[in-house]
Amino acid sequence: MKAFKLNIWLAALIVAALQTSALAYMIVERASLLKNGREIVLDVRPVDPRSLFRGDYVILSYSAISSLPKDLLQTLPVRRKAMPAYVTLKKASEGWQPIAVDTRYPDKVAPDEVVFKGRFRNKWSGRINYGIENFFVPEGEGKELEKLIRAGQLRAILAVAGDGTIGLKALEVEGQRRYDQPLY
Amino acid sequence: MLGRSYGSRLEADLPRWAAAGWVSDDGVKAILAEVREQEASTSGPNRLISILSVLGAILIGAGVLSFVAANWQDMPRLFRLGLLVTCIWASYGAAAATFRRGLDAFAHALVLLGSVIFGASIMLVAQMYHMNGNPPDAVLLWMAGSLLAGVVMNSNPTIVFSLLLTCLWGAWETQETYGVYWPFLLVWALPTIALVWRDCRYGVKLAAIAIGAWIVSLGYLLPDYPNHLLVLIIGLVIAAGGFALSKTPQLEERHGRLLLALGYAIAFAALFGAQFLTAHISFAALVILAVLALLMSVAAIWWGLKTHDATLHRIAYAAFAVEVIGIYIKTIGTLMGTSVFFFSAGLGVVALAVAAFWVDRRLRKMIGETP
Repeated sequence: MKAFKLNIWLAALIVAALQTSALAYMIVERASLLKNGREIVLDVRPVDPRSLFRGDYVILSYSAISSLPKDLLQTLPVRRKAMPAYVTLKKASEGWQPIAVDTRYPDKVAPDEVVFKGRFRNKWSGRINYGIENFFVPEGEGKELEKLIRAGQLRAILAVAGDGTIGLKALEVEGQRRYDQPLY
Repeated sequence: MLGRSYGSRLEADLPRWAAAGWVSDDGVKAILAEVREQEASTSGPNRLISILSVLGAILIGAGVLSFVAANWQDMPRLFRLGLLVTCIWASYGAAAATFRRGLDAFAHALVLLGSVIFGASIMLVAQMYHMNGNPPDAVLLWMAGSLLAGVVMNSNPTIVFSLLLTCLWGAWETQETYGVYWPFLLVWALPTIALVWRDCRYGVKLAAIAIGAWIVSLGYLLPDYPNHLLVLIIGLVIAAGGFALSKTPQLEERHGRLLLALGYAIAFAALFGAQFLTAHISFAALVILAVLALLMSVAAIWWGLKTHDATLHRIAYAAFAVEVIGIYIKTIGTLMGTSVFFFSAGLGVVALAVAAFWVDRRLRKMIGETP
């Protein structure tokens, strides 16, 4: 039987250090996105809570962008499941509205526009996932949050990076910022 | 090879051989002592300790996972993460200490525990930042961390664990994209190479099963679905390669044997799919494919028995039974057809047995051996 010839203590140190750095990298990357990303506020509504391993969470559906209107999709010749989707949003009087969708990052983005990176959920409809659909809430508070959400208008506060990556910062219920989280 | 261990069979035979004067009494003692020592390292209490500690590690890991899920609010975020990272360091540190003391079974379990907690930490970070971008990416990172731990710390169970994570990741991506997920091949190769290099037999077998399932899935996921012919050809090529390898003295014979069994299983799965999972199939085509599948299985059983290849002949027996049940279900209702088919198949198999007996006797005569 062949073996990796390395002092076992050194081996343990390398493994623990590299795994820790991977976790640290994940955190630093996210924290920097939330800190430096452009802040965008969008209307959302809850879909359905609960996950097995990750405590309570609310699934959010974004009224403007979770499902794109048919006329926007006509610019895409082919569509398949999980295909990347770069959605350009423009600030209008009624809030951010999608104006274009492409499979790669658009060449020109005006200052009043922002690009969201997502993936098509299937090939038939314009439904897209952006990775900001889960909002985790402290255990037991899911139902309470849901009630709160049902009663009033809900908004998500997002941070968008230059490459279209989006982070979910906080929720806004009836114009009041809630569940705002520390960066670390 | 089958049934009782080599040691207990030797124990039964050696006194007889000693009585016949073929082996000296000292020889008997020396042989038994060596065999017993070998067996003690791979079976008996040691084996049980390994299995129990690995199962224990998995359970403790599952405990950590649910702890993370449940105790959201009671601890500050960084504290929770710090706790997990401490557990990671403690697991690998304890693994190193137990390896040093020669308690390998516990050490392997501790390496595995460290890797499971690494996965829990990834999930916690995702939860902290409300990330659900592409969950398979998180599984891939977990897999990479486990593979690193398994290889660098020389721990087979953790490499096998990373292989299982590779399968989870591949299946998830396949389901997300609903097409063939080619990167699986590349990532699958990494733990597989490590397992072959470390000569971990159960791990290599698992890797073979994983790639076999992936190849069979090609028949259903490629655009010209269902593509059983392609899968059949791949299976036959792998079987032929395995056959050739098992005849090459320089290489490890059992790798060739494993490839032969894998290729046979893939080819059989293709034939089975073509017969029973296709919407429309003519009766003539069904008969031809069924005869082919049965012939192939009989050949595999024969070859497995002849070369003492337990894996191959067990798979082939199982496949033969599955094929027969498949035919029975498919042709049920046309009872006459079923009976005619089994009758002729039975005659065919008996004829094959006679032919095999005849060929075997001729071969033995040719090399001057008495049957």
